[in-house]
Amino acid sequence: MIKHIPILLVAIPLLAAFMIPMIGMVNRTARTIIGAIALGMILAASYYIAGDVLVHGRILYYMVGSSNPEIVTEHGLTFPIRIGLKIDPFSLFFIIMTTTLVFIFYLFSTQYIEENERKNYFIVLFISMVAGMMGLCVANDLFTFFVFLEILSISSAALVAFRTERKHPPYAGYKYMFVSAVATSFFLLGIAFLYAQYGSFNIDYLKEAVRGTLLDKIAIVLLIIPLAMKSGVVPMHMWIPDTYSEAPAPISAMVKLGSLICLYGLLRISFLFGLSHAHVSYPLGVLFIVFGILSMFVGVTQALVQKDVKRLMAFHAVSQVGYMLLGMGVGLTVVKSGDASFALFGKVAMIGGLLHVVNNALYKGLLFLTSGVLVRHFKTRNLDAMHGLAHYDVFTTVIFMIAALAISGIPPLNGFVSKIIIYESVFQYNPVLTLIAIFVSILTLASFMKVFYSAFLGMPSNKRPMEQPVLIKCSMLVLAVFIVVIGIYPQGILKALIEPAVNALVNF
Amino acid sequence: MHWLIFRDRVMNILHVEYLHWTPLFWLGIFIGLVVVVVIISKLFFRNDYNTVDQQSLPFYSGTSNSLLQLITASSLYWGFKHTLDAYFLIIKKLFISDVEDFIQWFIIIVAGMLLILTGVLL
Amino acid sequence: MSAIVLYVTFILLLTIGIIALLFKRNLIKIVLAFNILDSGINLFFISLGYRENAMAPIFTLAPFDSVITMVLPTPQALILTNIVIGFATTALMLGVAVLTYRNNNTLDTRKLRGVEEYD
Repeated sequence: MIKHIPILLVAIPLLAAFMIPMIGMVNRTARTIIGAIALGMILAASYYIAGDVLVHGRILYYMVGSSNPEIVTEHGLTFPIRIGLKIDPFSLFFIIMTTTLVFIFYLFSTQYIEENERKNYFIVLFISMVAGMMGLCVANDLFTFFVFLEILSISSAALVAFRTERKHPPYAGYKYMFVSAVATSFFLLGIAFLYAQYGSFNIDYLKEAVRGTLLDKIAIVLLIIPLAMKSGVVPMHMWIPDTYSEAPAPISAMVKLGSLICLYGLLRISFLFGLSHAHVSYPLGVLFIVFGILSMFVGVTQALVQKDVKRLMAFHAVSQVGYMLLGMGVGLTVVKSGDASFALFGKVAMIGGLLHVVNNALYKGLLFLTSGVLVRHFKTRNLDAMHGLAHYDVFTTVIFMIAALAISGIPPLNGFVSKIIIYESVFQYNPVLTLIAIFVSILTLASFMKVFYSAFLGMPSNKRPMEQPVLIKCSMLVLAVFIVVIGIYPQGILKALIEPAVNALVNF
Repeated sequence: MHWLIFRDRVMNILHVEYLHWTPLFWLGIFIGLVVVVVIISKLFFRNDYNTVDQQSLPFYSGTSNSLLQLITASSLYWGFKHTLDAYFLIIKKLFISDVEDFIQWFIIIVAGMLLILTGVLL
Repeated sequence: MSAIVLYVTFILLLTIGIIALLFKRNLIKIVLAFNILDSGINLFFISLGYRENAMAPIFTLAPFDSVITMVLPTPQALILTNIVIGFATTALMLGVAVLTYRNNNTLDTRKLRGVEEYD
């Protein structure tokens, strides 16, 4: 049973996504329950293999269509020939994060999106987004990665344009689809250059076979920059505010999760190339550090002057990606340096970067869900028109305060843990980077104080809000509990999930 | 002897090998301080001040003394924004939401990275 | 000789696609430019599998013990996938372009700058 789990992680959401329109015509609650069952099954499957893969270090391979799925290179051949899937501790970290968060967002969105004739399409597209994310995480093959990247972007773009009766969401969906399509076309060009030289798409085979020729360097640029654009790295970040502000609230959180998965692809490919040659990994690491600092600074200074609440949170998404790239860039710079600096601070910087990924997914998701509740209450996204929600809705106030303190890096919540790991290890590399990162953290706190002041404090407005439905409250509460628990007890997740992930990424 | 084993076990729970982050310890001290402050305040502070008088209203150091004054969010960090106006004008001019400008920046970065990484430029 | 013609065509299609992408303002023309770019990349990928004096890669009609070279079938299979992906992408982009026109009555990207600035 365990040996079939890599393909089941992709097949179960696809099957559910295609079954749901037929069931939705018959009975509406059955359709929601089938979706929840499918996502629950993937959640159970990913936790089931967690013990085996993380503790014993077993890597699951799956070659699609062969008689024995676990053999990578068949008898008599020198390179692998089929579509390959692989789960190793680095992929499993992202799979566990994705399945947990997607289940929570699904529960939120069943009661947030009102029931009209298009909710069928919402659930179908939501679950096919999940299928795309799962396929991205388990792919061992560059072309499989490309296909699932396209599945993810087409489903997300259709969901961003979901509220078609208003003026701006279809244009935002157009922009997102266009940016994704051009990015993945250039990604395919990079794959073509690699295929022309080595004749194979398999990541394990390419890691052995890559030499540092000129075509390789062209290919790595063409592979990395499209993924960086989809993750939201400055200066290619301009589609992010338009997309995140026009999408409905759970879809903003899902698109953010999608761009974190694209960051997974970015790391996997840059370590594929960077581990073999020091003269490739050093400039690449420096570029990551430069992009990271630029993203942090530009993101937060633009976020400080916005008056649209979801646009403000979208700019913070850009700025937080900078922290992850900073940690990973410092690790990539020293990974092949030959002296002991990787064991001294490089590995710790990478651990901080990966912990920041999961922390960011948690508190950014919670912030977007809370902004959905705000928008639904005030019927506008403009911060000037909002005042005084804290007099009536204490639950949302407390949850928003937890999320806003977490993103600013206030102890004892989880943002502080990952930020202090990044600060201390990057300080050993170069002290100026730490100063810039701390300054950006202060500005983050300032902008969230502005949101909290306008939306929650102030005189009470005239209308009382409706009582929030149960599933909305439960999903926000679960995310807040995760934030507080990881902040108080980070050793569990660090030792169990993140250290094996960094070891698997570096040792491959 | 038992105390030493117990202390080692407690310090191992609270200590991560590359991070001196012992949050349970600090949370415990914080809660203890809060309890101490509450007890002292209940014992020693006066509770005969009136809450309906002018003492507990916010103080507006200006011409208007109405309670219905609301500062909107877009004018909250006015001084910061006005000081850095030169920077913000440049950023605002760069940030046009046309769809082809996204791809323009992408092509510029791809060309720049191709020149840098293959060693032609730097 | 024929390889050079294919690569030159690919470069021309890429250039025309990118220039049209950057300088055209109508939403439908941008979709067409993306299609030209996609066709160029497909052409490049298929032409990687070409071998001199080789047959089409259909295995059942080859004689049993003769030495015949075939062109590589892997890029052909993968480009079929990419053509279908390009078709789905174009369908979605045209659909949202129609919705944009229905809501805003214009297809010009200069006039569609409806996002409020932060001043």
